[in-house]
Amino acid sequence: MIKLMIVDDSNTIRRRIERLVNLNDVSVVATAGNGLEAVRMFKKHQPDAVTMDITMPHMDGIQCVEALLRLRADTRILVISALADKATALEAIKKGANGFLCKPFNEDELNEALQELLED
Amino acid sequence: MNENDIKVFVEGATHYFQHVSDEPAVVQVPYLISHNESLIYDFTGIIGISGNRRGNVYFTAPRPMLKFLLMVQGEPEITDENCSDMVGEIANTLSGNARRDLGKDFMISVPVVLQGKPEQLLLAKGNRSFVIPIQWRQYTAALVVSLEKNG
Repeated sequence: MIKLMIVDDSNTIRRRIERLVNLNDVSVVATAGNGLEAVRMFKKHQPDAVTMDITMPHMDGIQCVEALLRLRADTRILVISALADKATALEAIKKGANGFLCKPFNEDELNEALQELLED
Repeated sequence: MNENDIKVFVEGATHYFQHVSDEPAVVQVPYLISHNESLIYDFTGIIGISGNRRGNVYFTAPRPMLKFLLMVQGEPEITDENCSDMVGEIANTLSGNARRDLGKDFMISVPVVLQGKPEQLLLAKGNRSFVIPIQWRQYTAALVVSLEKNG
């Protein structure tokens, strides 16, 4: 079973991702509303994969990607953000994220992006 | 703020509703609003802008529209708290998507959400502010863009 953590400052987005994830062997084990909470939850639940928003209070998603990879370098991270410019996607990848999905997204796009993330 | 900036937000609003529901929104002709006017529905998500532009972008919508959007997205808890969250997320998405055209130096803040009429006006003095009316199903909302070039 692949353990997934969802990080987004929007409660409705966290819940939506949780409802839409429709992949065999993937189970949502934790959610977090900002980067600091994500680090705490990561230590507690040790997820294998993470969906990560960027624009969040306290610690943004790019900083959080770096923090989580310092804790466990083989964590698979899919950045899901409204920031639609190429430079932001490239920066996220450069910091160690494995994929980028732009908001708004639908069920198929989310599951395809997660499938690719986990197959890499 | 020029015609192209407005076009970016008009296209963004159209794309958003096409993507999150099976019913596209009709984005009506934008119009100018002065700083001492306000257009506020039940919930408003405000994004502060800095970098290559400065000002703010806000999305304001009536409660029934947000409740319907939550329902369409399968959210079982149709509450005011989730309406607030949804309006902030829409403001964030429409502003963030604008970076596709306006670049990474179009910096957006985390959303601030207001419920009801604010005590202070939201529009910056001196900026030209445009209202982009958005018709989705039987509901009307608005995206208000109040920006000027920085530097």
